[in-house]
Amino acid sequence: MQYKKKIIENLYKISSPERYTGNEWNSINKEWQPARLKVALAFPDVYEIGMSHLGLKILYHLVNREENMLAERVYAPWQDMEDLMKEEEIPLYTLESYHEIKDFDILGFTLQYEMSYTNILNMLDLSGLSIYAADRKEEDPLVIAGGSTVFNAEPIADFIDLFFVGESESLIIELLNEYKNLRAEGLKKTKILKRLNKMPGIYVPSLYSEEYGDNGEILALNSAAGVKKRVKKQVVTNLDQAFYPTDFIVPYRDTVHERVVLEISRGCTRSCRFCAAGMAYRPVRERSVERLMELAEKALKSTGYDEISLTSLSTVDYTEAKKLVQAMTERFSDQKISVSLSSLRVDKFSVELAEEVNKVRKTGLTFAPEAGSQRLRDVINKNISEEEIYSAARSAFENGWSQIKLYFMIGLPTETMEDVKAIADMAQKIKDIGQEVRRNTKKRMRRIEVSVSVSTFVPKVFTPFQWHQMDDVATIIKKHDYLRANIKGRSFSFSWNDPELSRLEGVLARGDRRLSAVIAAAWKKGSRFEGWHECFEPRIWGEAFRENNIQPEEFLRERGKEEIFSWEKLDIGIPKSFLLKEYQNAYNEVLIDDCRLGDCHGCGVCGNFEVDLELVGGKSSEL
Amino acid sequence: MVKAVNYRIKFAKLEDLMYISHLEVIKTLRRIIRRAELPAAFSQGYNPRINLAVGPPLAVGLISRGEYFDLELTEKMAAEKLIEKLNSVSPEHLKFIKAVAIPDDIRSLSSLLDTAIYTINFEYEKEKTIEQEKEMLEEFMNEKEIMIIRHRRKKSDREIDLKTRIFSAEITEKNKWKFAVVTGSRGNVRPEELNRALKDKYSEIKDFSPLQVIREGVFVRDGEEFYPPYAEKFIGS
Repeated sequence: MQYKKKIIENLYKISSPERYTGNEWNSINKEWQPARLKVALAFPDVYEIGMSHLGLKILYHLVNREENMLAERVYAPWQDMEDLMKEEEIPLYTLESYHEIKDFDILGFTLQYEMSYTNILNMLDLSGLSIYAADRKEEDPLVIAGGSTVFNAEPIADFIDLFFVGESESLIIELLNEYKNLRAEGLKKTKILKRLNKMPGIYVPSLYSEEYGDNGEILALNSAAGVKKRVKKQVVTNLDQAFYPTDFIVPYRDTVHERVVLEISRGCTRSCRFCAAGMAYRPVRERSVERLMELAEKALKSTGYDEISLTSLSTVDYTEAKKLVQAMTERFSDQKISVSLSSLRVDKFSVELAEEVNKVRKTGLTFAPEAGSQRLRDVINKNISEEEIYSAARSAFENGWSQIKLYFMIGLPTETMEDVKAIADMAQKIKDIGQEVRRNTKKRMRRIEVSVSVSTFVPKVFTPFQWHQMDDVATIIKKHDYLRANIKGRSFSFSWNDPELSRLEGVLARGDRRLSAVIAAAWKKGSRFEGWHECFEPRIWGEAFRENNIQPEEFLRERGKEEIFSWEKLDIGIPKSFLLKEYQNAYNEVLIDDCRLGDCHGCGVCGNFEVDLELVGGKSSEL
Repeated sequence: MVKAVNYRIKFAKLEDLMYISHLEVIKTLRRIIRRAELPAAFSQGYNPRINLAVGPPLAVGLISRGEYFDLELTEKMAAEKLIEKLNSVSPEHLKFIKAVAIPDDIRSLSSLLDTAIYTINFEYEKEKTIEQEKEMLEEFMNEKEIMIIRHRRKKSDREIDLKTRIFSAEITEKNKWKFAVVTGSRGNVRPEELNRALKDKYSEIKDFSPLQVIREGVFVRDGEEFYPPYAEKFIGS
């Protein structure tokens, strides 16, 4: 059913009604022909967050390109909208046609962070669907999920019918077509799921199970008869020619990214040992300058945006970074289009690039040294020296930037209070450099501001640190207290994450299937939007763990070398032995370099997927 | 330096976009102008933007058939062509209606526009004839004062008199009440306040949703008459 009139009549009662009305430029409202497979693409957070997610943009246009399919969007309603929907008996609906979710064949969730799991349950419930996959009916939409936290989606395994593992451009259309065909054959859902599980990258959790020991450790991972043991992630090859949309939806409301977003490359082989994305999205694949220029041109024309954002895991590592940035600024500056860069490294080349795009307006510049001491940066394989950091900072100040933002982590393996102190020392030294440059320059320069942002390290699956014990809350607080006391004064600002929230993220990030019951309990008690500071209530989660007899600490502990992990049902192409060797290298402070620049370290991805690095500037770059 | 040409453009914001705020409309207009690839003039400074001036804000949740903005172009263009180009890259419910070339020294929209005309579609507990409605309206308009509490965001409530803020009112057809009220720098009346004031007097009027209101547009008042801001008398010879 469609509920447009009832919705429109009532929206004036809530805040930000334009989150729920759609009708944006470039949104696609295809006709509801019976022959079309109807896909609802769901993002388990509010509109303005979901609208900025690149993966979802790609999927939306990819599916809508198909004649026999249509895709529409739905985001998590904020609390006031949830109340209104319940009061007025409005089910969850999509922004294009205002059809309720039950009218769709497929409901697909994007998994971007662990803190949105209760929102998934809430969206299922508001759709009138049972939260448990096993309880849903034959005619209910198939609930699928994919995205960056799919690599450990075990905590939500009970709620989802099917996961897509890896990069969706590669296989999603085949999956949807196959589903359509199997439905047309009149097969039952369980049969269909079993058939779909045969496709590469498809993981049907109900066909797998876990056995636990007395101490909560996993004894075995089991799969049903005739079902593949492990699910291999899917990778796009020839990214340059892969589908990329240019007719982005243009929201009315302020969203996180109001600009043309161009993914210049995918993957990163810097091998930072804490980084989940760096392991999960290998190998590095780049788009060509020509292709990017063509995409930029089309997207600007189609959207009317005045900004282009070049995005990737590490922008300066793009082999033709300078050429691309110069071409962009040259081509678009007379239209007053600005170019912005994300994920800069802490080096002089980054400052040079930033200078190129910010010739006039100098806002802030962000650097991520990640750790304060050189020893700890070596532990995480950050591959930046103290000297490089200070010279990059100096060069930024000399080029007119006065605000610098620094990102660090606390709780990394082997960290001592000495390393924490090194964070404060580094911030202090960078401020001193800034003030010295400001004193000696003839140019006008604003007051130096250094903002230090410290997040708590959460060990992630399929990284060398997946074995590591996460800091407990008391330790995190002690480190925060130290930094707060030592990073103060007019020139500094200091921000940190809620330690309780980091702890929950830590539990979910390396959790297993037993957590489904906990998540369901927390949701039933009213927990939503945990990622929003004002919404997170640790008390509710505490109760949810207790009622289900689960010790959260079990999931935060140091893992044994021989232990079986819940997430090993999946295969990201990197053998455990490589990760373990890297974990040992961390303790020995042994660095490995980027395989783009030198030797292969045997992570195994290229061989396992029969792929290769796709570098448009060739392997020997100027770096 | 290129000689700039200014246009005063009338547009409508209809049902699908009724919840879009004033600032969001401005942002949307800038993007439409870019999509239309018009030779727009930019402001000077570090953060150049398309030169655009809008009239008094239209509240979130309201539909309007006649809003205005001024746009500066670096070259001359036929007004019809301009409207056609804008409409070709605009959401269906943001419609451009008319463009008129205006001189540099014309009074700004915000200083000219002082009147908003609303049509409110009332519903009653028991149906009324148009004669009964006309009687109600006359009685209402003959009040010495029409006091109402104004709720203000993040500020304390305040009592205001609607009487001095309503220029004229009539019943145009059955159930349709048309009010011309003050808007802009000299004050403002919200349709919801008109509804409340009437409900205070006539309890049989039903609760009201924003879909029952249409802003016919904003105008310039001259005595008993209401003119569009690009009327001959403002443009000069």
